[in-house]
Amino acid sequence: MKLKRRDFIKAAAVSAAMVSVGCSGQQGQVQETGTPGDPTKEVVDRWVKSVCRYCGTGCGVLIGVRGDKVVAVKGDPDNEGNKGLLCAKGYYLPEVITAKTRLKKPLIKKDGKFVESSWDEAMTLIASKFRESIDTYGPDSVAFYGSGQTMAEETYVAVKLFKGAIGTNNVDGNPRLCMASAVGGYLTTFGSDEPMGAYDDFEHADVFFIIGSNMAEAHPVLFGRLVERKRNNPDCVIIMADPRRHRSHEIADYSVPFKPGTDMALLHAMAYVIIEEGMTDEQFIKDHCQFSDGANPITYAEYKEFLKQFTPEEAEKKTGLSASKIRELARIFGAPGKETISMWTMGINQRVAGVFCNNLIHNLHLLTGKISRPGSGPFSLTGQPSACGSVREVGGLSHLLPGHRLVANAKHREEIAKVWNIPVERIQPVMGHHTMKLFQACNDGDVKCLWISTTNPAHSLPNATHYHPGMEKVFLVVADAFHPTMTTQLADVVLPAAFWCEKEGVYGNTERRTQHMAKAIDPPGEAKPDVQMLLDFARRLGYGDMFPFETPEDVWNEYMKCTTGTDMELASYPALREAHGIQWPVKDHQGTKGTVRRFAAPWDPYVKEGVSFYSAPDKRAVIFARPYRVGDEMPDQEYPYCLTTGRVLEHWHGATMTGNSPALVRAMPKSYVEVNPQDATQLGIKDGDNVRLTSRRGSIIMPARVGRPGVPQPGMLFATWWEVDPLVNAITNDAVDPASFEPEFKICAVKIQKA
Amino acid sequence: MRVRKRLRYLMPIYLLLLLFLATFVLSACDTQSPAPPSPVITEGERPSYDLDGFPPMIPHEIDDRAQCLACHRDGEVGKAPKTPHPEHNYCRQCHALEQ
Repeated sequence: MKLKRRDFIKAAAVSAAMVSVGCSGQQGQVQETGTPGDPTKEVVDRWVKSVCRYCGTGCGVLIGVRGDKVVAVKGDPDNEGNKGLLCAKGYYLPEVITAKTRLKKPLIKKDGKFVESSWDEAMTLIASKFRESIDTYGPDSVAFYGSGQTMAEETYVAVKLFKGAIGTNNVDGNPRLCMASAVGGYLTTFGSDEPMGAYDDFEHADVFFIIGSNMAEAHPVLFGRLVERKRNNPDCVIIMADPRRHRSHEIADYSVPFKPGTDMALLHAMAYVIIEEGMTDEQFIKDHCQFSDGANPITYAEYKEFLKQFTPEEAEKKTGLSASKIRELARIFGAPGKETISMWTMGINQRVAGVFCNNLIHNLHLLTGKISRPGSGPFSLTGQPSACGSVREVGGLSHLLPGHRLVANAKHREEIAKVWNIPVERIQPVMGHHTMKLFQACNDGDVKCLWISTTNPAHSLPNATHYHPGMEKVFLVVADAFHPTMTTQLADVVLPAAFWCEKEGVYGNTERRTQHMAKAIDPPGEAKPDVQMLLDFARRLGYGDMFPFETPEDVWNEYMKCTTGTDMELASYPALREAHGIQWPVKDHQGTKGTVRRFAAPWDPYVKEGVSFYSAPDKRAVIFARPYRVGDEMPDQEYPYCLTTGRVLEHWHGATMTGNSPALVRAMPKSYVEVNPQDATQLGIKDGDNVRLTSRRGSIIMPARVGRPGVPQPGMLFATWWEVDPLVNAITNDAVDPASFEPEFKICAVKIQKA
Repeated sequence: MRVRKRLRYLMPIYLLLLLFLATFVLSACDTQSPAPPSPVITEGERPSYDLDGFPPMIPHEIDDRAQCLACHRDGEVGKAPKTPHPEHNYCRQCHALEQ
């Protein structure tokens, strides 16, 4: 058959027409071919409601199960917090569940080598070691170090066992390293921990004052919500206050690069301008506030007098910001009729001045009255998924008791002793070892037995290597889903833990949202949920009658009683199973509605009208005249650079989980130190060169990045800390805030040279 | 004679053209691909995302600072799928590299 040119062209035209018609039903999208391993191509038997394993945002997820495997994780569209969105860490959780480093059997170290053992052998050994130590050296010779990544039920059992049964307050956790200063700030200012606002405030705020936080990397889905707010409401103003420029600055209207460690001067100066230029809410201050210098009450007049040392001109000398810029910021923050929300994370908390910085942020909201209403308030971002729900609320720090109580408060001890049905004398009135003191006590031999759960302090402590000898010396039990980690390697016994979706439990996120995580699959091998391990441990120590729990729900039912009759009641387990997260307080534990906003009517069920800081002394929140302080170890002649450390989107902390995901490792394969381009030129360092960082505590080598991803200001360096080698925490500073005992990861003095 | 010579000369070009059109048609209407994520559903104030699964992986090399939307906003460049959510400005928050 002859193929005529004309016919061919006609045929081609028809094909082209077919293409456009055929594709119009897809709304103009060209379909991509299936990706290898795309879980949507696999059939899912059921979707199980849960919460992401990682950051404090607490994204609702649905876990896709086929047979006995998890084949997919997607966002839960019915979750108010994230509305179906996740970040890469959440999407790639299935890879982490089946990592080669999953531990399946208990290990006991014999002659320096790990030997597989039975649960009975391991638990018999552990119980006998702890019992011997308690009987010989007393209850304070043993300790528990937990985590903001455990479930609430797990920490509750540990707290009851150690503080209520054994009788030691040596129960601390890694929230000491991240949120303790925020806890201290809320407690001293308001008499009550945790933000009074909610994510809901994002959609009502006119001004976002973000300080010491890289939300784009550390809270990606919340950042997405911020981006959306800006897109829908271009008039809203985003202020990014940070000595370093990073990806969050891409949506900032104002970049505020104060010198590292000088934020107290900026915050005090903003207060000064707010007062001087009449942006205060005088009635609000009169009705709801009081003033203090930290030791004694002072008057409003005395506070104004105190602020005279922090005029914008004075603050300019300290911060390096111009006085006019400081005034401009204060005017934006304090503008009458505008809603202002402040957000901060580790830049503010991981400081020797952590509690003070938190107080000063609260001061600004109290002076302007911009608090406890839609769009306004000091909104601390929580780092870990359940530092709030599992540790701050459950009493998992050495000065706390369940239900936000304090060991130092006699009434609180009585209330908990009643729930636990023990003589009140069993609960020690003095706080136990905080984290840094605990690991020093291991070094010194004062603590002889230590149980660590769901965290990796050999990697994550500041000045980490200094504490390794103590971890070797002590009888160390580490419960972890993954082995080896830097910490499990130092253990005497490693217990295989069920991972995240292999057990039922509860997490509580940044915005007081308590969320239930259903069990999706069984744990591998002989791995067990931590609740079961701890209950077994408690029974072997002879305290079985205090632990009649069979399921996490049994534990929750007793823990929930610790909040009955307070203004922080938790929801019931059935309600949590049904709902997609419930914000406390849940008045009388009834229903699934929860409380979006505290301390103001009509949202808080404990406030009849207006605003009431009912937990503060005399119901008046405290405005603090905190004395100025910079970092513990500022740069000097010998160590002229300020080193700060932080996270990246792709890796979570020490990467014991994310390091098992090929996708995440591909996206972020190597840690690095960011060097300012001016400094780099002076030092003869190019992008990609290896550099040596040395502090008074040690020395490491890592590659330098110049100009991107982030840019620290001249004289400052930023290093990522997720890799085992180089171990950045070998050189960081373990000085702590004297009020919160949180270490100063964010500032230490180093020198840098090309390696 | 002349017509036949011309045909022989032009035949490879016609075949190439046919092949090109064929691949275009086939790739555009591949019924075995998964459905792309549903478009943004707006309920009340905020859109919600009922993503049917997984953010597709990035099958090609990218630079550190790739301008994803240059190809993917309108989906008219080569085979670049059009994004259903161009308002998300950091693609690598969810989309990982295939290799």
